[in-house]
Amino acid sequence: MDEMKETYIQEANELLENLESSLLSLEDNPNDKSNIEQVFRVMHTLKGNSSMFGLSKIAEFVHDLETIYDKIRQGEMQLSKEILNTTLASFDHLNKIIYDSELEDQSNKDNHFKLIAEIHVFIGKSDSVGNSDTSSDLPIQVITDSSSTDDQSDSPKTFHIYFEPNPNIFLDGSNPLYLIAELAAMGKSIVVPHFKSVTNLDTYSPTDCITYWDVYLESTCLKTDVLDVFVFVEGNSIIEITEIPFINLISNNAFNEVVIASTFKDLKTDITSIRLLAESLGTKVISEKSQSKLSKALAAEAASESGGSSVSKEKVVSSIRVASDKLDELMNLVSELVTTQASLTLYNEKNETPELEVITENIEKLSRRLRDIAFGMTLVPINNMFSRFQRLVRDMSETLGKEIQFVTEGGETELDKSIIETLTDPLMHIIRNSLDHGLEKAEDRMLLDKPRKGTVKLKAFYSGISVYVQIIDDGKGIDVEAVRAKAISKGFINEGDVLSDKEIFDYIFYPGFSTAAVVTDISGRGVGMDVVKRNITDLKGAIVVESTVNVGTTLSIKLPLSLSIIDGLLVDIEGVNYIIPLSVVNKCYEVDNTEMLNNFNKLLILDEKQVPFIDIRKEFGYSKLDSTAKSQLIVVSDGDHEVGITVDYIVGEYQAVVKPIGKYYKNQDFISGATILGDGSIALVMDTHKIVELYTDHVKLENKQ
Amino acid sequence: MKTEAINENLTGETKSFLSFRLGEEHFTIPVMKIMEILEVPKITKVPQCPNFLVGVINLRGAVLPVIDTRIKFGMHQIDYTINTCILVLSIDVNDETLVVGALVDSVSEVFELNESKIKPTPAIATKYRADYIQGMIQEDDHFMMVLNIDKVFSSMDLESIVESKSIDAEIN
Repeated sequence: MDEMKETYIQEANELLENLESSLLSLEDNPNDKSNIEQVFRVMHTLKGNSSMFGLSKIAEFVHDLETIYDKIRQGEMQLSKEILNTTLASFDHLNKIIYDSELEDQSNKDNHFKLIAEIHVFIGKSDSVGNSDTSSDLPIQVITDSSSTDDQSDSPKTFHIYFEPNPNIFLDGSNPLYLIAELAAMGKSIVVPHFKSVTNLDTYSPTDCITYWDVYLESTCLKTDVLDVFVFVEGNSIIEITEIPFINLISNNAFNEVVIASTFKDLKTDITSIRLLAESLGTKVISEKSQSKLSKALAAEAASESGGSSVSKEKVVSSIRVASDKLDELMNLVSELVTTQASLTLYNEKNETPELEVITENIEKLSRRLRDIAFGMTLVPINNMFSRFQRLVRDMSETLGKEIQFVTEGGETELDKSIIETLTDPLMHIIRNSLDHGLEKAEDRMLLDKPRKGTVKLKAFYSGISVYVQIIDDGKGIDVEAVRAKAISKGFINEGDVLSDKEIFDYIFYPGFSTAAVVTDISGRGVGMDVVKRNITDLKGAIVVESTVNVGTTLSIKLPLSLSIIDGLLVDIEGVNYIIPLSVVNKCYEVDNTEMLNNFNKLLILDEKQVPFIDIRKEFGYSKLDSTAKSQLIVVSDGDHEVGITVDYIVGEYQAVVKPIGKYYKNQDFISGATILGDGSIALVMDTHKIVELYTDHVKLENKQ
Repeated sequence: MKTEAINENLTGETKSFLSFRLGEEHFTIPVMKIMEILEVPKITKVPQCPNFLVGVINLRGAVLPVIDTRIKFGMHQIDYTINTCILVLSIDVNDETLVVGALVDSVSEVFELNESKIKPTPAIATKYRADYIQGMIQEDDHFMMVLNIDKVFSSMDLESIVESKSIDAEIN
């Protein structure tokens, strides 16, 4: 039972997540019928699940809630802000009571009845109207039903819908394309747009709608459902719906020809020709069936028939839920396979047996594909996280009394699920800061000639092997001078230091930088920003602030696509193999060791540029550089700078499956992990940024002494 | 050491133990804690870390940290012999299970022992920190220390298991 309950909670959580995003988008477009449908459907599923598991209290609650949306869906009620607020409150409540289905917690219980009362007010309000409405609705349905046949609801049929909107349709804010999209969502469809010719350019108005449509829809729904789509369309629009029962025409070739032929006429498609076609097809099917011969037409027919009913089924099957630890396990196994394959390749190179070579190459290909697929599976679209913030922004804008528009972009960008999990908190923090301190109140914005509504934009995009997530607001921005003054007063920098704006903004992330005084001075960013930075650095990411006073602030977070596999440069230092991530490597040079040993400034001139270098042997406590030999200098980028790192020699490029080296080495954070080489030995993966930090601390310490 | 016969008069549980040697001293740990025993493979040293952390090895695709038990116990490091081996231990630290390799001079044997035979450690007589030693087993004329390995290998700090520096010097 516990396991079943777990399944229920897991599903309920997913449904609720779904519900939340639909509700929030409903808030932006209260008239969007598809969203209302979505809300209704989710509630309905939740209700079904709850009663299936015998959780009657939840089921009843959701039932009441669902009733509201059923009424809205039927057009008997208008969606209002109050309804949305109650729904969102109910949503929060549901989030709690799926864990407390018997309402054992007193506060849950109180809340439960309070919300039920609120919901009943909404239902009750329209009850008198609603009842009469539904009763008057019913006979109509019966009439349409009887006009065709009995088992209407399940049998596939084809509709022809001719829709010529009133030329002024745009004036009342409708978009006919939405209606067409809604029709298309009901089943398989062909949409043929036509344009009225503009006869006189003098009288032509660009706000007039001159488009009209022929829609062929193959669906199992009722004619009334189709009519429902046009429920908000004002009069003067021409809507004709013809129903051709029991036949799916869309996937039929002959039908397509008729449609295509009529597309090029400006005329309304000739219904009668289609009807004839349908009839001939119908008889054809029947006669062929009796001969029990499967002709092509029948095959097509059967395919389209099953297609119609399996549309919803496919949706269910197209994705399955997998426990995340199973995925982790899979990833581990794939990593091991890649490693084993590397040793096989190594063995093959030594032995040069032709048969073995073929096998090795095949396994190499297979394991590479397997690796790509397995890694792809752990990537999830960042959208999952974005929708969570939508709610945060909505709630905060209400408490703060600010008008805020929340825009997301690039939600389809995919990131490793563990990165997304770790990223949620820092992002939440940044957005909260933006809302609280960044954006001004509407009145203040008006004074600055800015739009009343402040905008917070969350943007994600790929760039090479990295993903960028940006939080952009058009608020008051951060004053560089204020941060600078603060940094000076805190003793981080000296009065005369020359720093770029970027470097100054970086002090925001220093622990303890933000104080009450700063909150007012520089719009308060810095509260816990050190934690944000740490979280992001833990993910091998970087964060950069750009800001202009009164224009806004942009925080850019750069993240690796996946944590577990990197392209690296395999190098050797004193017999130990190290991997330097290729993403930071700029160039490699060969340098005489004497040049570095006698270098007081620790600067080398390479390609007419001064490049500071780090003697890694010294940092790692190895023996000194051999003054008679040469070293390889790997120039890596560290933020905006370039730094050279000395290594004994370069082995080559290596695709490294990075594994953690464990808690015992938590103080050695300049090693970000380890990878297993083809010969079974281990190479350590360097975190060059940390090495530079280590070196700088070192130098600072030396200077103090 | 001969296997202890199961004595029905004894109250405690009978468990299997593995004994190993570090220099001249004998230690023992419950077999349940040991996942496997390995020969010493190539160890990759991680720079800038305390010397008892000798490095990491490849345990069938996983990266396993290895601790030199001699150094951890304040003895001087010696060259690995043919008997030197790594005990792969699974230890519990704050509800977490860590896997770590422990380098020991040699393993002796596996034996069964009733827990009630483990005598409490005399508080003063030991040179090792009391919380690392679960108890003592007397065998003929010598003692064997039962280690509390969860404690011994969980302390990731630099502190030595030996109580004072003077003893450290004495051993060396």
